[in-house]
Amino acid sequence: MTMNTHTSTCQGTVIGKSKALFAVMVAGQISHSQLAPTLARLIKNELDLPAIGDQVLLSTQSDGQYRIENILARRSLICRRAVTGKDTGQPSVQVIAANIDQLVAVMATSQPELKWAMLDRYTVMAEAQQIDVLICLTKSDLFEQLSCHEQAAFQHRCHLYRQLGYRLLFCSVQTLAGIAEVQHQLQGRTSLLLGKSGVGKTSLLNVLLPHPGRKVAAVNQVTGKGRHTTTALQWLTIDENSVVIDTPGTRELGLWEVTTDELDVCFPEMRPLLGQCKFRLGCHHIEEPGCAIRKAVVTGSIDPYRYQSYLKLMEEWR
Amino acid sequence: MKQNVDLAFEKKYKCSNRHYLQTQGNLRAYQKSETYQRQVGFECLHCKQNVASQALYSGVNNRNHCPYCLFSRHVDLFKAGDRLCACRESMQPLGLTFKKERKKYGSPLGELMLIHQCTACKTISINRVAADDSNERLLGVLMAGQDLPELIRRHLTESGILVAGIDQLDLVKMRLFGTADSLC
Repeated sequence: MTMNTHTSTCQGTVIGKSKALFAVMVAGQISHSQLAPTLARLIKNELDLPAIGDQVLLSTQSDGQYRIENILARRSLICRRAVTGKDTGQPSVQVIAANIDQLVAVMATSQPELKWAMLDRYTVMAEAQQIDVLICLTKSDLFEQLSCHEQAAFQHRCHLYRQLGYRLLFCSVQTLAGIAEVQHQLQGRTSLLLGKSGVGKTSLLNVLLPHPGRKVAAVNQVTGKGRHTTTALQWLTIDENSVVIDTPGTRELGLWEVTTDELDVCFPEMRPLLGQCKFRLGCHHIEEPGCAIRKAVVTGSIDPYRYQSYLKLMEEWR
Repeated sequence: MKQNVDLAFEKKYKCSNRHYLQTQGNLRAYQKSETYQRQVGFECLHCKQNVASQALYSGVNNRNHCPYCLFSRHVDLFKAGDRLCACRESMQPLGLTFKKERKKYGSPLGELMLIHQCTACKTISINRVAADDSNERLLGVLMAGQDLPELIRRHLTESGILVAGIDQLDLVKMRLFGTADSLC
């Protein structure tokens, strides 16, 4: 008969994970820990597993190793619909990170092509978790290469997102323009960098962080897409109060746990009008008569492209 | 017969998975989706006929109007096919017109177009006539265009749209049938 003697308990932060082992930061030291059997028995799906950023309670074993006994309550949880379960018809969840203070949506001005609908997904994801959004437009030195029409449309959309209350910054790792401002916005927070492959997330971190050298690659000139250089989540410390989580490029981002009834709440421009439709809070703002949101789109109070993003997200969940 | 487990699964996932929706789920909701209406077809708001939207049948890429009653739907805002308009109300055919050609030496009377007006916001737009549109109905719209109220006619003229008159019946028949001698 074996006995597990718990000598003491302490608190740590999960900063990395593999299949069975979790890298946990305990008092400035990284320790690779397993789940305690009592916790492992309670795991039903991915949401129950410790995620990067989770605060966990650890017990010290007799052999000096830590075991994760419990996950403390999460402040926020960023997750998406897993891409792998799509073919089987059974949706499943993929947890990205927990206890995030701000979501940094990294988008390239050009190369790869900027998809505003993708940015709307990031903002909806953050609004659903009630966390701040920082829109970081990299490769600002390529702005001059856009046509006059594209430049005008680009500036119009930037103005729109600023009007909605989102912080929007331009930066370039080539000219180092705007880098100081991005650094200032990351101070004292736990930030999650999300963006398509090739937009320059890791390149930006190489400039921002004291120890550069993380692997980066140029966008494929033939396809115009990124090369998926970063392949795992990376917990990177700027200083003792500031942390950045670098992520692999996201090709698609299916929302998870944002239902059709609460999607309109995630669009800040729609919030003041909620409840003013003919069908009150039961209105989905698609084809219902007397819809205040649709009326606002027709009169120009709500941007039609944002409304189209809303419709696309609704269509995914209906 | 389905087991209880299957029914519970359906109940849980019927609103959250597109693949399931397309195969067994809420077909009605899927048919109302933008993707379905663009790729497969839609139900006319006015006459309730089912309309196929594939370019193979109609010869146009962005099918908005019904080939039977010629009523359309207000879905485009800046350009054809952008689907950015939130109005979504039905558009009534007012008359026919000829689209001006950009070519300097081209014909002043170009492609035959339908004039539509939104029944809700009164926006006017012109749309290409599709290959499967009812010819009789098109000629009926040409006749109806002669009796337009003066206010609408003036508004159309200010917008640069000239309503085809009865004196252009032969030209309309040429565009529709390839000959002016048609019995229609």
